[in-house]
Amino acid sequence: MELYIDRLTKQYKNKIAVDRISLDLGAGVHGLLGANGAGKTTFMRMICGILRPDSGSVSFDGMDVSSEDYRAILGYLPQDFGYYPDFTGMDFLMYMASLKGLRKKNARYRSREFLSLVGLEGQEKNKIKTYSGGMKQRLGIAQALLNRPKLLVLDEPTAGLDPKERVRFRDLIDRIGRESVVLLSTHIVSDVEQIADRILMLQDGRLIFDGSADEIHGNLEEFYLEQFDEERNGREKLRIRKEETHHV
Amino acid sequence: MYNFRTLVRFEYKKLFKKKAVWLLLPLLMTFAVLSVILPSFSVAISNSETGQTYMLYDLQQAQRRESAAIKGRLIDDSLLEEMRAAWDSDETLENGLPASVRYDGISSFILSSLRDFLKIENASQFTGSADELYALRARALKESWTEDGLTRGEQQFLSKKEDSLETPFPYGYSGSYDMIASSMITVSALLTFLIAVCLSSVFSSEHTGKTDQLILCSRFGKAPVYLAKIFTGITFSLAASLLMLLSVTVPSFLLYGTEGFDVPIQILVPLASWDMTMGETVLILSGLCLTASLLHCCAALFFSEWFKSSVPAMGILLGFLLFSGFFNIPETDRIASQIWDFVPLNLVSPGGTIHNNRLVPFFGTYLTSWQTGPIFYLLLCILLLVAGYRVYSRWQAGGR
Repeated sequence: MELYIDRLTKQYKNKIAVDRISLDLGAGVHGLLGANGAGKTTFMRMICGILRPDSGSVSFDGMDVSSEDYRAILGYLPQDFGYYPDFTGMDFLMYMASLKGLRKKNARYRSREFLSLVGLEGQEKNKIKTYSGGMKQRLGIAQALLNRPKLLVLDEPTAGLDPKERVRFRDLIDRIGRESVVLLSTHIVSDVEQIADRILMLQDGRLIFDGSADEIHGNLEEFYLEQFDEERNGREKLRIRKEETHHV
Repeated sequence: MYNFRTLVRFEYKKLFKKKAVWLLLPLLMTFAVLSVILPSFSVAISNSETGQTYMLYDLQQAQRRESAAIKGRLIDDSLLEEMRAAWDSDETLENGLPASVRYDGISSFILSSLRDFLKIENASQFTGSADELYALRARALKESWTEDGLTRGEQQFLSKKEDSLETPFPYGYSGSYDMIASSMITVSALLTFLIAVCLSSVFSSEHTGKTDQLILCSRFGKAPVYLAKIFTGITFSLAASLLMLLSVTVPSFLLYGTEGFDVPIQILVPLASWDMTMGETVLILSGLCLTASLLHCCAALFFSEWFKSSVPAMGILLGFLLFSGFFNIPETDRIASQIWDFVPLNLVSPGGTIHNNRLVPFFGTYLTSWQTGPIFYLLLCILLLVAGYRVYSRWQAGGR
C-alpha cells in the first residue's frame, strides 16, 4: 500500500501553490501542517484528482490518479464542500454510496454503521438543512469513509467539531490509519500531535519538514513555529544579502 | 457495472426537491388547458342580420354537429350547389344560428384556396364550378411557389406530390386536430420555459452547492454521473412534453370530438401538396415538439455545465425564446428565412411545416422542413452532449 507522489507542482499565475513535492506514503496517519495559504488544499485536491497538476504525478499502488480504480479506493473530505439541504442524512449517504459503487443493501448497512460511528444515529431521517455545522462535518466524515478507503484524504476535518467529537474523531482516524494511508491536513497542531505517524510541514508550496513525531524532540507546536520562524528568518537574511550586493 | 438506476433516482430526487419544478409543471399544464378552452367561451359573436349574440363555443358545436351530415362527401359541384342554396336560405337551427353553418368548413376551404390569388374576402364571391375551383387552386399553388423563390427542382418535386393527390377532396370536420395543431406554438413555448427553469441547474447546482468535489472524486463521478444527469434531463423533458401535449389534446378532444383524423390536410391548408391527413399532421407536429424539447434540454444542460451557473443558462434559453417569438426574416431573403424556419418555435407551428414549401436538397432528392428539422436537432443534441462531457470531465477544483 503506497501513495506515490512525484515532483508535484501547481502554479496559479505568479504564485507557486505546490512546488515539486515528492513523497512516498505508506499505511498510517500523515499529518500535513501548514499555515493558511501554504498550499495544503491545492496539494490535496491534486491527490484526489480534482485538480490537474502543472507537472508531476500521483499514483496509488500503480493506479494513476485519473483512473476509476484510483477513485474507487479514495475517500475525500474537502475543506469547504456542500450538501443537498433537502436530502436527509441517510439519503445523502446512500447517494454517496451509489457514487462509490456500493450495492444497495451494503450501502444501507454501511450508511447506518457510519452514521452511528460519527454520532448521528437517530438523526438519519432529518433533513441536512436542520443539521448544525458540527453535524454536517461529521456527515462529511461519514461519506468519506463509506467505501472503506485505502487512501483517505481529510482536509481540515476537525473544523466545527466540539472537543468531545474531536477526541472521537482522533480515535477513529487512528484506527483507520492502521490499515490505510491517511493524509490529514490542518493548521491546528494538536490535531495531528497525538495521532500522526509522520508529519509533513508545508510552507509556500514547499515541503519544509518530513519526519516522524519521534524526530521532534519536545513540543510539536514549538517545533512547528520554529520551522516557520527559521524559514522566515532565512528568507529575510537572503533579502538583506541581495540588497547589500545590489548596493555594492 | 455501476447502478445507473440508483444514480438516476437520486438525480430525479434532486430535481423534484426544487419547488420550481412542482409549481411550474402543473401551472403550465393548466395554462395549456386554458389556452384551448378559454377562446371558445370568451369570444362572443353577433349575427348582423338577426342581432343575436352567441358564444364561439355554440358556433363550433353547431358546425361540428351539422357537418356530420356531409362528412366524407367530395367537394364537388353538387356540394358547392348545396352550400350556395343554404347560403340563400333563411333556415335557422334551434339556437338561432343559420343552417348554413354545416358548410362553414367548405367556405373556409374555398376562401383559403383563393383569397390571395383572387383577392376575395368572402367565399360567396367565388361562383365557379368545382373544376374551376381546383384549377384556380393549382394556379394559386404555383404562384405561391414562385413567391417563395422555389427552384425548378423543388417545383418539380412538389408537382409530383401534387399529382399524387386525388381531387376532389373529401370533406370532414377536424376541429380538435385543427386546435391541437394551432396550439403547438404555445405548447413549445411553455415547454422551453419549463425546461429552462427546471434543467438549467442540473449541473450548475453541483458547482454552486460545492458538491462537485465529492462527486468528481468518487468512483462513478465522471461518465456515469454525467450520463445519469443527461438521462434524467432528457426523460424529464420528454415526459413534460407528453404531459403538455396531453394538456391540449384532452380538452380539444372533449370540446371538438375525436373525429377528423383521416381528413386530408388540404381541407385546412388548401395550398399544401403533402399527401397526409390532419391526424398525421398533428403526429408530425407532436414529434417535432418532442425533438425541440430534446434540443432545449441538451442546450440547458450544456449551458448549465459551461457557465457553472443556472442564471446565464436560463437567460440564454428564455432570451432566445423571446427573440424567436418576435423576430422574423422576410421570406424574400430565401436562405436566411429558410434557416430561421428551423428555429424550434417556427418549426413546431403549422406555418413552419405544413405551409412551408421550401425544401432541403438531399442526395438527389428533397427533404421537407419537418424531415430535416429533427435530423438537424438530433445532430445538435449530440454535439452539445459531447461538448458538455468535455467541459464536465475537465472541470478543475482550483481557485476557490
